[in-house]
Amino acid sequence: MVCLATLGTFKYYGFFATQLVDLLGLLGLGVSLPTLRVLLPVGISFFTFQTMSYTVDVYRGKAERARSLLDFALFVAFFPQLVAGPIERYTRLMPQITQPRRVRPNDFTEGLYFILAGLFAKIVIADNMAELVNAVFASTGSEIAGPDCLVGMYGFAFQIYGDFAGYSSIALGVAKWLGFDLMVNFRMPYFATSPSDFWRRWHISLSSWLRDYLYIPLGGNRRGRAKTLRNLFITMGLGGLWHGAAWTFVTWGLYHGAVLCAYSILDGRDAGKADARRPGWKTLVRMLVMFHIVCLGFLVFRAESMSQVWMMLGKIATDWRLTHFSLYAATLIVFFVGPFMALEFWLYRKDDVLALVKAAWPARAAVYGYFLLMLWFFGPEVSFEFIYFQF
Amino acid sequence: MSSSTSSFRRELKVVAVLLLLLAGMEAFFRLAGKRFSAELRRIEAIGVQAGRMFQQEGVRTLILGNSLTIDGIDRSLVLSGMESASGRRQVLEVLALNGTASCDWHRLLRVYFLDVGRRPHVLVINGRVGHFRDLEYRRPDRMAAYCPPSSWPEVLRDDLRTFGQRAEFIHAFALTSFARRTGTRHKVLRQIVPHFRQCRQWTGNKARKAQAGPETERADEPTFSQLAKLLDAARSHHISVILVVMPTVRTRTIPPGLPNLAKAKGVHVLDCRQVQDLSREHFRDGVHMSPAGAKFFSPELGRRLVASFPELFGRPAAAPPTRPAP
Repeated sequence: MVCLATLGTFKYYGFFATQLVDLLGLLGLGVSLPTLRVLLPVGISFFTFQTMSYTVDVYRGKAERARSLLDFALFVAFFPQLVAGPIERYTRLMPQITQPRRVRPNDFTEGLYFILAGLFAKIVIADNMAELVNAVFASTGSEIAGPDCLVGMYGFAFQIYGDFAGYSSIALGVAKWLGFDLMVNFRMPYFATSPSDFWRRWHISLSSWLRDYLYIPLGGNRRGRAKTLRNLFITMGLGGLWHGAAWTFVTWGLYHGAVLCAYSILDGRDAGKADARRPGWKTLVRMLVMFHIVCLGFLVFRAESMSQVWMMLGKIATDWRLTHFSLYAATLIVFFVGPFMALEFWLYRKDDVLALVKAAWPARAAVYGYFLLMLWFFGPEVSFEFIYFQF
Repeated sequence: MSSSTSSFRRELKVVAVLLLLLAGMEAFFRLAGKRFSAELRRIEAIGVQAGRMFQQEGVRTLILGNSLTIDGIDRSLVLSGMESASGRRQVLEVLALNGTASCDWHRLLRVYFLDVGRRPHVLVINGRVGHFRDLEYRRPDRMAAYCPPSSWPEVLRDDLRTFGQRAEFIHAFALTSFARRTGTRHKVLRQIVPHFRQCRQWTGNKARKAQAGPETERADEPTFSQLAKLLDAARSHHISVILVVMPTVRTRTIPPGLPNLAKAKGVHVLDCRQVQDLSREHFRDGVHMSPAGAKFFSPELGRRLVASFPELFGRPAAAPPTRPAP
């Protein structure tokens, strides 16, 4: 309760107070509520969920209570993942803190891979996409056409992936070099073939947290189809709200809840179990469909308001003028994102995030050399803060 | 030898390849970088221009500017306009680098002229209204290319205020490949990305507008402290300064702070926002002039400079009207 109250006060009080005032205003009751003018502590959503997992695990008897305040403080504030995850579990991280650390040679190899790949994803992909995406989302309807909205939407999908997966990857690499194993937070999510597959690959630490501490306690899928669908909606809606106090985030969460429900009704069997090593054309089509479903969700996530979402969807549906900007942006997306996605597809087919680490060293040197060249010469002119710092 | 040790050694080979790659890039840019960088060649030419100016006799006028000057000013045409209007021999040099404003102009004046004992008689500063106001400095790498170490303490204190700017400046000074990365990026992307220049400008404008906030909230008057520093440096060496507000297709309002500053510092303002017969067709993008525009505007600028401030260019000012005897 203390954890949730802290999160509620800092992150959600202003939003709910405004909504309540607006609602009462509609009913003719003019009420003014005090507002909080405080800075949101960086990473509050992440460390709150981390401490909540400790409380619940200890309560359930799955973990022993911490014996040292200092160790517990390190568990909560472990710097590589403090501000944007992965949301570590007490049962996984605490033993690593309390036991003596051992230097393993593979830690250096894996750490180097995670750090370089993370820097590339953040600096080359996310920040370069940010320039395009910000321009599209700062435009009015008269300034852009449908293809501009499309490249803005695709651009944001890659921006948020590069930004968030990049941070997680750097955190993983830095932790490796310090002798800690953090959980892998992303596993080639844009090659998911169904929504459940997507959530097993995207922000894994949050989706597994929501599964273990919200979806399953609500009953999960054990109490009939209707309750399963309800549980999915509640879990995803709250997952959306976790991202930020705004209707666009709630809508994004509910949208994913609806997609999960729709797939669960229509698809039945889980297509996420398709053989990654030999993806056939059906799997590729499912990937493409799922990618576009995810992109549509990110359009809602990024938009300033729902009216902007409708404007952009309207443009995509009706205004097919090919503009100079859409050609420019599409080429930049292919240039910056294409090779990285090719690498991810290779990793997907190997079904192993660390496949490159296990490859021959000249292959690794070639890929790292490409990362380094791109980082050196093709970073953005203006750097952008990590998106998930605001959550 | 254990497998873990050999794995570590293999990784050291990877690290060695990366270090070799970095060293190779650095060697390439040190040896051949100037061949690929027009900006670097232009910076190198500044020293030559500054020296050439002081080998000649006459009224020495220095024009400082940016891409508006590069595209819109033809040195020989300005010079002939000035000489025909003044009837005297004039010495003129134009120093212009793309994307520069008050901060760079101040440093260029100091490094190439004032700090080495060269004093032009007249300094003309060319820009549109926005170039005179205080702007966030974006090119520490370029500053590193022309600032000698003796000016570092002042540069790091006055011009580069953030940690990021200072780090970029020092890195750019130490590593040529780092300093040339923006130019290399643009060169490559211009080749492979359609409409690169035009669309980059559009996204840049969008970003600037978003950063400034909605127009209704932009109540703050622009500040001119960087320009003031430049004017103070010129004044302390008794150089006459003329601020030329260059023409663009869209006429921008001059904020009151600019003429107020000019008055306080005792410098002149030549408002060229509107020039008769200079039309939209003389601009290639609404801001930068086409060669035809430069051909038309340059002699006009020369004439206007002399006509507006004849005493600065060696032509006696028109005598005041004589009062009739009582």
